Amino acid sequence: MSKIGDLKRMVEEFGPHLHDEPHGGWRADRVIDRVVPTHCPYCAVQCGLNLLVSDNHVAGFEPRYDFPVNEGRLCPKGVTAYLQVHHPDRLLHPLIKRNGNFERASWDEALDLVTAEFRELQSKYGKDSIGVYSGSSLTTEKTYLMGKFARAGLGTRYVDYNGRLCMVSAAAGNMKAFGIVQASRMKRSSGRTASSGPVRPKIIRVRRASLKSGSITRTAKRSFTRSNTSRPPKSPTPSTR
Amino acid sequence: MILTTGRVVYQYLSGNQTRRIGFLVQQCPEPYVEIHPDTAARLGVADGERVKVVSRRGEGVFPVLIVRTVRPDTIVIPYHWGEQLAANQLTNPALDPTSKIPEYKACAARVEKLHTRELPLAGRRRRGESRSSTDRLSDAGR
Repeated sequence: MSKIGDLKRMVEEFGPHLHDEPHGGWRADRVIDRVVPTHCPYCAVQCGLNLLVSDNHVAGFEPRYDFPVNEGRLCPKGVTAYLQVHHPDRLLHPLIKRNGNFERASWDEALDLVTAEFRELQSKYGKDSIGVYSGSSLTTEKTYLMGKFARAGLGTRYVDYNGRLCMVSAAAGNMKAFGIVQASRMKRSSGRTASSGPVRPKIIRVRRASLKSGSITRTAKRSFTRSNTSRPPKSPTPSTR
Repeated sequence: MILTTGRVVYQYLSGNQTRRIGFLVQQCPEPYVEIHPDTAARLGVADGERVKVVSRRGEGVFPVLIVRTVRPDTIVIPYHWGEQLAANQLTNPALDPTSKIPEYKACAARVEKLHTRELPLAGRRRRGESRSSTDRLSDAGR
């Protein structure tokens, strides 16, 4: 890997900078004209949330009660996730490194460069000279596209994801112990469940209650259906914020 | 003692995204070492005091957070930070033969008391004490 030229200047230009305000600052008179149901961009739980859009800019969020995974709940990361959208550190256009510095480029220019480099590497060192590293934060559709791109596009057999540094050992252990990838029983190894999977404690409580009452599937199903029907989804009507 | 690494609810993985959001950085600005009250009493360290955690591979200075959710023979350091603050300076790079994951979750380590006067900040902040209503008022007045 080549060295970064001037680290101080790079940090000044690309961050990390702290950012704490929605686009246009905190305002009480903002009119919300669209509510967009989407997912939290962070971990693999992919909690649902509603983004509030004002004048084509993300201005805030609202809980998404109709989403079965988190039923409106969010952790502190999810609550502030909307602040990423207009973050000043975001790269909004491609950058190409020339003479040790990143310079702004057009998408065509950048994609041509990537294609040329990929082709050259693969003709020199074979199809498998390029690997694809994916992420658990991607939606199912994006993960599918990533796999397609790797296998059908690049023709490489090397596809991996961030779980390689995270939960692959748990899956391997479960395979060895139970012959399944996903364990049906939960095992707690430290007292940090809420920190690691913020929306998980509720699921564990539901499970525990159902184990006590002796009807696991029925109770869990009922608890999910009840919470889904009792709280109607937020109507996407314009509101002020 | 056994050192394990874990997450903080305010940070995500390497912190590339979360350390750009002011609120999240304010809630958890730096890593700490979680120690059981009994162990802390035995070591003679107080909540928020900076201690040196040493393993065969490396060492780091972290503020103590005394909690009951950790076993007395175990310490926990969150892994979201880099360089000198990285918990993985201490962990074992040996790979699991099946999954090829480095052994992040368990290694031998010891806690050493530092005989300096360091600001006991992070431990209190993690409990929300330093973000009391008076602090918020003075923040707003700035």
